[in-house]
Amino acid sequence: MKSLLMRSPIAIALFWIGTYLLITVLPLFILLIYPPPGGRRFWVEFSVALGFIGLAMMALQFVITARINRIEASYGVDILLQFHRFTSLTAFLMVLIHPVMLFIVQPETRQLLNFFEAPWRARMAILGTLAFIVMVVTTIWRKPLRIPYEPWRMSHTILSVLAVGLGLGHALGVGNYLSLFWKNMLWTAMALISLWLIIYVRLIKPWMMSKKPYLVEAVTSQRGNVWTLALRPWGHDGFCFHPGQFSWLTLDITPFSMREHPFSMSSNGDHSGRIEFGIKALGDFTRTIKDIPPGTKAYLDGPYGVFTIDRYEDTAGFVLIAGGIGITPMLSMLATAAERKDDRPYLLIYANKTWDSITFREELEALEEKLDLKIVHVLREPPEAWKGEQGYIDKALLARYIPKYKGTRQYFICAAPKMMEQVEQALHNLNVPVTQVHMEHFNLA
Amino acid sequence: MRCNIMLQLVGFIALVLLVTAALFAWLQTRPNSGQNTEWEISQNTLY
Ligand SMILES: Cc1cc2nc3c(=O)[nH]c(=O)nc-3n(C[C@H](O)[C@H](O)[C@H](O)COP(=O)(O)OP(=O)(O)OC[C@H]3O[C@@H](n4cnc5c(N)ncnc54)[C@H](O)[C@@H]3O)c2cc1C
Repeated sequence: MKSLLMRSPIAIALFWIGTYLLITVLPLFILLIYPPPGGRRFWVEFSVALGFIGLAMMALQFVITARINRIEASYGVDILLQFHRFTSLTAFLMVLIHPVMLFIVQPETRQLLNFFEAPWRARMAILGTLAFIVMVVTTIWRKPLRIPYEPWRMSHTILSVLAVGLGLGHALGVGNYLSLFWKNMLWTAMALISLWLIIYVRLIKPWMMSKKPYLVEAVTSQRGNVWTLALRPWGHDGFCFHPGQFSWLTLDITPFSMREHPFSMSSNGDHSGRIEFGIKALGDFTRTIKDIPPGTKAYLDGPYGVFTIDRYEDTAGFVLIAGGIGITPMLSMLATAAERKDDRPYLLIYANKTWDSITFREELEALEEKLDLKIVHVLREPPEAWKGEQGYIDKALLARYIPKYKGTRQYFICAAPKMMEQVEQALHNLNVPVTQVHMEHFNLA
Repeated sequence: MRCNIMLQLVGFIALVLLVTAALFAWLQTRPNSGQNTEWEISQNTLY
C-alpha cells in the first residue's frame, strides 16, 4: 500500500481530496438527521449551508497548518500552504455570501447589521466576519502594509481563533440546526479539536522542544554572504533526517516566543550529533547569525519536508538544480549520498552571480571525487576567461545536460521563486513528467 | 504550473461544495420530504 501510494501521486492526491471533502460536508449532512421543521426558502437554506461549509473549512485550516507529519509527508509544507491559502479564500467567499444572500432574499434580516440593537448571535457573526476580513487583508497585503512577519503570524493565529470561535458561537446562537444537544456537541467538538491543535503547536510542542536544547558549536563564513551554523544536541541524541529536509530554528530565545525560522539542513542526514545549516544573511534575523557566539542555546522543530532523495530509492539518478542559497538541501543530499557510497549518477546545475560567490564551491568539488557527480556552474556575471555556462538556466541549457531518457531521473529544484518557475516550465517543455519534479520554496509568505 | 494545478483543484473542491450546499437546500425544501421532523419523531415516540 505504502509503495503504491509513493508511486502514484494521483492516488495520494485523490485520497486526501476525498478525505478533505468528506470532513467538510459530513457535519453538514449530519444536520439533516432529525432536521428542524422546513418551510424556509431554498435560497435561505442554501445560504445557511454555505455558512456551515465555510465554518467547517475554517476549522479544517488548523489541521492543514498544524505541521502534522503524516499529512505533510505526502506533499511538503509549501504545497500545503498553497492549499491553505486557496481554500481559506474559498471559505472566506462562502462566509461572505452567506449573509449577503440572506439580506437579499429576506430583507428584514438587514436589521441584524445594527450592531448595538442586534442580538448576540448576530453580533458574533459580525465580529467573526470582521476578524476574517482583517485576517485576509493583512495576509494578502502583508508586504505593502509593511507588517513584519512575526507580528503578522501572531495576529494571524489570534484572528483565526476569533473567527472560528465567533462563527461557531453564531451558529449555536441561531440554534436552528444546532438545537439538538448532540449536533451541538459535534460542531463544538470540531471547533475544540482545532483549538487543541493551536494549543499543541503553540504551547505543547514548544514545551517539548525546550526539553531538547542544542548548543551553537561554530559559525563559519562561506562564500556568497552565507554562514554555516553548526549545532550540537545538548543532553539528548539529536535526530537523523532525510537529506533535503528542513527544521524550524529558534535561537537564543525561548521556543514559546514563536519566533522560529525554517532552514534546510546542509549537513549529512545520517549524523545526528552535529546538525548544520547554511544561512544567507538577507533579513533581520539572518543578518544576526554571524554574531552568534558559540555556546548559544538553540531549539529545533523538525525534521520536516518531502524534498529528499530518500523517497526515490528505485530511481536511476538525480538532477539537482539550485540557485544561490537553494544549494543547502542539495549539499545535504550529496554529502549523505557520498558517505552512503551511492553509485547512482548525480547532476548538479548550480546558478550563481559570480565565480567567487558560489556558496560551498570547494565542498562540492570535494564531493565530485567521492560520488558520480557532475557539476555545471551557471554564472550570470562570469569572469573573462570563463568557458562554462552563463546567463540563466533555460530550456536549451537543460536540454544539453539532462539525460536522454528523462523519466529515469528525479528532478529537484530549489532557488529564487522566479527561477524555480522558469526551470519548472522548461522541464515541462522538455517532457519531464510533472510527478518527477520536486521543488522547495524558501519563500513561504 | 503547480499554482495552476492547485487553482484547478480548489476550484473543483469549491464546485463540489457548492453543489453539496444546493443539495442540502433542496433536501430541506422539497415539498414532500417524507422525512420525520423532530416534532413528528417526538410524536412517534410518545404514541
Ligand atoms: C523550507 C524552507 C527552507 C529554507 N532553507 C533555507 C536555507 O537553507 N538557508 C537560508 O538562508 N534560508 C532558508 N530559508 C529561508 C529562510 O527561512 C528565510 O530567509 C528567513 O526566515 C528570513 O528571515 P529574516 O528575518 O532574516 O528575513 P526578513 O527580511 O525578516 O524576512 C524576509 C522574508 O522571509 C520570510 N520569513 C521571515 N521570517 C520567517 C519565519 N519566521 N518563518 C517563515 N518565513 C519567514 C518572509 O517571507 C519574509 O518576508 C528556507 C525557507 C523555507 C520555507
